[in-house]
Amino acid sequence: MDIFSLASVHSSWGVARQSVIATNIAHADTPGYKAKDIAPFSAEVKAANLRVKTTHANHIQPSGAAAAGHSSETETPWEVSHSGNSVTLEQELIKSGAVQREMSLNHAIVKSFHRMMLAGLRTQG
Amino acid sequence: MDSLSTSLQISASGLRVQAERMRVVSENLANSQSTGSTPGADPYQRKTISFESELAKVSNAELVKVSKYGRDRTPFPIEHRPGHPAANAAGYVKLPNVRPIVELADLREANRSYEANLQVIRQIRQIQSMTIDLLRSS
Repeated sequence: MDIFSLASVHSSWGVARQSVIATNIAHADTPGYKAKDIAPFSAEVKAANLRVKTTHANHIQPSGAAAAGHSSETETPWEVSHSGNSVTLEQELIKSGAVQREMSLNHAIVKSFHRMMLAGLRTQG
Repeated sequence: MDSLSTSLQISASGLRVQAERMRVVSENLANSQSTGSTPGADPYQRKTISFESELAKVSNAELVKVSKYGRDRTPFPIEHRPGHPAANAAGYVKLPNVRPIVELADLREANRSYEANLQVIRQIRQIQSMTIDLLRSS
């Protein structure tokens, strides 16, 4: 899996999570609504079985990719209101900010790789 | 329809119901002194609003909508005002069961929820423009 398809998968993960967060915030006052979340990106990567290529015997697998049994974290609400609603606006906004930061990092990486490719093309011509 | 537009749609539905909630609160506040006009008549009864989720068929998104407008069944406070047009035989007037402090707290909460939805919209727009910026050659 190359960097662009990884970035693409991460991007669609971020968008899906942002959509779940938007649903949670819209339902912040709906009685009985349970806050939802999606599996973290590490679980998605593990499902895709992403490994860093070992081209030399001395290369070590990064601990994150090798660690097996990393379960997807369950949603732990900060508080559940009397109506059974488990959405906390602060918690959702923190999650939304985290997604935002990750997406911005992702875009910066894609941009710099893209620039690198363009630089390669320019020197050839 | 992509996920980001769906998120925008969801947040917009959140904005809509919170605005509706503010409308109900302002109705209650405006009518906090509205008594009846005939002897012994019931005054304005506080309105309540409740939300539920609704599945949008096209985008499969869980939108939020107003499920019902209710009436607060708290008993009306009674005051002794013999000269009032709505006073009963004993001179007591039923006042609306609206408590301004409760309404203001509710208004503030609606405001906060509205802001949270706006914040999500802002972030989605930022993500969209970041993605579009990838096409711009630097």
